Amino acid sequence: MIIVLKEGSGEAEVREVLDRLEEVGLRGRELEGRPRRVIHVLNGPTWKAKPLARLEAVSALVPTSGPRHRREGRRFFPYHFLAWAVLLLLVLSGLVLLSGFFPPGLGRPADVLGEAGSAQALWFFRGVAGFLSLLPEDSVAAGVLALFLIWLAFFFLPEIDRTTGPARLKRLPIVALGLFFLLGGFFLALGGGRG
Amino acid sequence: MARHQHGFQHALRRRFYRPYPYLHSRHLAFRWLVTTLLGILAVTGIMLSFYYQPSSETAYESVRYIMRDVGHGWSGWLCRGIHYWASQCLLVLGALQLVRILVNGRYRGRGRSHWRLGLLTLALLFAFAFTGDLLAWDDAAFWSADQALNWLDQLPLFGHALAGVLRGGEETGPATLRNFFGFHVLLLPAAGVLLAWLWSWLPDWNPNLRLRGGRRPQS
Repeated sequence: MIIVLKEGSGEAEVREVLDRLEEVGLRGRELEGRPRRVIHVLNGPTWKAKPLARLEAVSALVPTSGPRHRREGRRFFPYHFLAWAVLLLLVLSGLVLLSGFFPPGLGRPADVLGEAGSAQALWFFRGVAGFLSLLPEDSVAAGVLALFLIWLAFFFLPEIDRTTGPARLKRLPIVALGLFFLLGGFFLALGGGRG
Repeated sequence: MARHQHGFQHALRRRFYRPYPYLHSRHLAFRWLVTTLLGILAVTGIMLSFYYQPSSETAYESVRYIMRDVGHGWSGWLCRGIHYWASQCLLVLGALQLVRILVNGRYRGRGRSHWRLGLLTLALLFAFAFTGDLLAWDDAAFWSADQALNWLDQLPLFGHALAGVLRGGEETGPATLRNFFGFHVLLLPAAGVLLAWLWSWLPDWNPNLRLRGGRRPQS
C-alpha cells in the first residue's frame, strides 16, 4: 500500500505517518523522486494502515495489489467432507431399506438345455421387448435396426436440432418426439416383456 | 521458513484445502450422488467378488452361499441387495438426468459433448446391469440374457459378430457366463475409467454453476 501525502507536506508530516504506522505494527519507507511525498507500507497486513486516511496530512491510500478475490465454497475438510458423509449415510440407509423390503431374488438354477418358458426381460429391456412383440415374426430384425437408429438419432441430436437460444416452442417438435419415444418405451414396458 | 510449493504435503493441501462448491446446486448434488453410488457399487462389487465363482457349475451355488451363509446369513445378502439397488438407482438417475437435459435443450451448443458422453455413460451403465444380471446364473437371468443377445444378433453388419463375442460361441451357455463376468469386472470398469477421464476434461456448461474457487465457466 502507498500512502500519498498532501501537497506541501514536510518532514514533520512524514514522521507523523511513519510513527502512526509503527503504532499499528507496520513499517513504512518514504519513496524518493515523486512529485508528492509518498510512503510505501513495507510489511504486515496493510489494512491496518486504513485508519491513517483520517490524518490531516494524508491525501489518499493506494493499494499496490489488485482487488481481493474472495474464493467461494468451503474447505474439503471438515465442511465438505461432513456434507458428503451425511449424503453417504442417507444413500446407504435408502439402499438398505430397499434391500430389506425388495431383496434381489434368486430363482431356479439356469437350465441351458431347457425351454425359455415365460422368462421376463430385464426391466430396462421390457420396452424393447414390448415394441418387438408388436411386430410380425419376420420384421423383428427391422425393429431392432429401427431401435438402434433411434438411439443414433439421440446421439446426433445436437446436429439434428440446430436451434439456438432458450425459446422452447422452437424445440417443441424435438422434445415431443424424444418424450414420445421415452414414454412409448415406458408404456410398452408395462405391457410387454414376455420372452 | 519458506513454504514448499511441491511435494506430497502440498498436493494434499491443494486438494483438500481449496474451496469446494456448495452442494445446494442440483447439478452438483447429482454429481456427488452419482459418485457416491459408483463408490458403493465398487466396494460392494469387490466384496461380492471374494465369494463369487464365475463358472456355470458353481456360479448359482456361490450366489446362494452369499445370500444364505456369508456373514451369518445377513451381510452377504445385504451386500448383494445394496449392490443391486445401487445399480438400479444409478440407471434411473442417469435416465432422468438425460430427460432433464433433453427438455431443457442443454444438449445443444456447449452441452453437445456432455449429451453424447452422457448417452455413452448410460449405455455403459445398462451394460453393467445387463452383464451383472446373468452372473446369478438363475433361470430368469439366463433366458432374459439369451433374449437380449438374440435381439443383438439381428442387427445388420456387426450384430452377429458382437453377439458371438458376448456369447463366446453360437449359443448362450457356460462360455457366456465367463465372458459376462470378464466384461462386468474388467472391461466395463476400464471403459468407465476412460469415460470418467473424458468427463474430467469437459468444461462445465451449466450457466448457474460456479466452479471451484468461485469462477464462472468461460463462455
